[in-house]
Amino acid sequence: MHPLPTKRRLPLPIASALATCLLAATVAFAQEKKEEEPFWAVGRPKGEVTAKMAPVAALPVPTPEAQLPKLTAPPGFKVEVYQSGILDARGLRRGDKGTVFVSSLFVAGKIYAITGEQGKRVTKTILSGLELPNGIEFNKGSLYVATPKQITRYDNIEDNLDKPPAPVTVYDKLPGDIPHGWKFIKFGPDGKLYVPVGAPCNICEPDPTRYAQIFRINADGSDLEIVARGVRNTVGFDFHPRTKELWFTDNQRDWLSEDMPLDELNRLANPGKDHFGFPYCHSGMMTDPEFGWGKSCNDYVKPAALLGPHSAPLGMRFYTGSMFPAKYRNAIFIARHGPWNRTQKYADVSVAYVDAANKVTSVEPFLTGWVKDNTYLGRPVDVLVMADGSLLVSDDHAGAIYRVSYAK
Amino acid sequence: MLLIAAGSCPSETTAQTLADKIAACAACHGESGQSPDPNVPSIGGQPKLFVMYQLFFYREGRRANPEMNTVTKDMSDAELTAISDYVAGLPPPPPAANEPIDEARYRSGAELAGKRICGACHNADFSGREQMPRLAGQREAYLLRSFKDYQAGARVGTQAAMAEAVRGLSASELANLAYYLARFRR
Repeated sequence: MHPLPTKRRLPLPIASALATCLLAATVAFAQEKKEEEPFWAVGRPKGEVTAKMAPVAALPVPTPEAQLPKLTAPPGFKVEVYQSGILDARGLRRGDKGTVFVSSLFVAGKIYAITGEQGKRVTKTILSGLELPNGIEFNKGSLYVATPKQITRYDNIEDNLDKPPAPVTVYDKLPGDIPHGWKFIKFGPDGKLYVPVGAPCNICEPDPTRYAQIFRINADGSDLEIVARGVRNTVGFDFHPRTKELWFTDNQRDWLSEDMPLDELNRLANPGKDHFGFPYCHSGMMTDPEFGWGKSCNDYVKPAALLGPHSAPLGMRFYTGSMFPAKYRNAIFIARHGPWNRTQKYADVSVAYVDAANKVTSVEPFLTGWVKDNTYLGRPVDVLVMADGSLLVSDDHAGAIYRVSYAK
Repeated sequence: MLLIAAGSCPSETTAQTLADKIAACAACHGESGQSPDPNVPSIGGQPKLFVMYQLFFYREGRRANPEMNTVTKDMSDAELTAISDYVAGLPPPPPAANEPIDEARYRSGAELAGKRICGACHNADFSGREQMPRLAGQREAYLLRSFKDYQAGARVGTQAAMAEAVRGLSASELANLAYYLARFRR
């Protein structure tokens, strides 16, 4: 111990000693990296610009209604605030009796129920203290809630919003990892519940029997069957109204570059057989710099459409309503949450048009105005087609739900 | 009724207007947000989003501290936002200590900060940004307690990043890291 004179500034010998230490630390760090870095930072290039990037947390306070972003839809459409003040609003589902259920993720850990007509609408917190309860589904009167660990069911929920019943366990053998462990769940036209398990990492080669897949189970949790493999992190899917095939968005890996890879919209043509490339091939066009050697993108299912670099496509729904013009029928609305892993931010709800041969003919912005001065004012998460054909859009950043309607 | 644990902080926070509530911060956190109490953090110059999150975590009972849980209990979202704005506008605290710097401890702390890439999130000068707090000039005892809370899982941020950052560090390593950050000079 050699105390320095009191008023001396940090002297040069220390500064150079520091530099030496930091250099040594960098070398030591290379070996310890995987253990010490948060999962999303693994693979990050060294440099000042990338050092500034980290996942964007939703705001801990909902944005007051008057300050919500002014969103724009094509001519003829009207955008209004459906309900504000919903902290961390994520997944959207509609009950048979008209309740809109809203999930949340990191910030709130709650499930909300919205009831009542415009002007008299009420938001109730029906469940709280849940761990990353992003996945919800409504089926035959029950609300299903999926966390990274388990799926539970609350029966006859719409008649018991003030005092939800004790949950029934549906499935409790999920891996439970936090990275990409949060869920999007949905019942298919086959009556089975579809459940993704994301990769527990930014980029790694995880056990394919446990991770990077979508499986389906019976409503009681039995008969698990993997339907899609090589899926890094899907947080949105739906079933084509006519073909009944599963279509899903998939978030590709981080840190490769500002403009690559491109996030995916995928179609599952062969349940149980199709592999979508992770971690070997990204965007159907580039092999991974670490895990892709000796692999070919031709061995994996190509994306149905590319949705932009690090765009974070989350919730998606086929448009089955009759309110919007005919060209939107069976098109897909996709919430692009917007990148954190990119210096230039963007976000929107896009619409993907699908022809009779299952080809995506174009993807166009539909609902815009989420970003100002490269800063998020809001970020869309899920979309929901209402009984009247209008479209609800959730926004976890500003804590609001918007309604898009059309009048001739 | 407000119950404030006995200590050096006065407990006049039956505060009602926003100005009263802001003034109440100073009772513990010091005028201009520079804490006179080694166990109470300086809040001056903290990023607005960080302050919002902490007030939110206290209010929701997700960060445990009897005084702060009580102070934030009935805080509205608007008050929480306004107070965060105010706190972020206070001047950052100067580096701690007029005492002679223990060179070995300072260097050890710097080395750890490099190894654990603290500067990647908290900025190279530890000034903090967004939801990640300013560390430079923070009260040393408070920093040390925070590290231990993160290590024990008693405190969780918006990401699990801090638990990873301090995992496996010994008590003396944590103490040196706190020593360094409290005295950090550019």
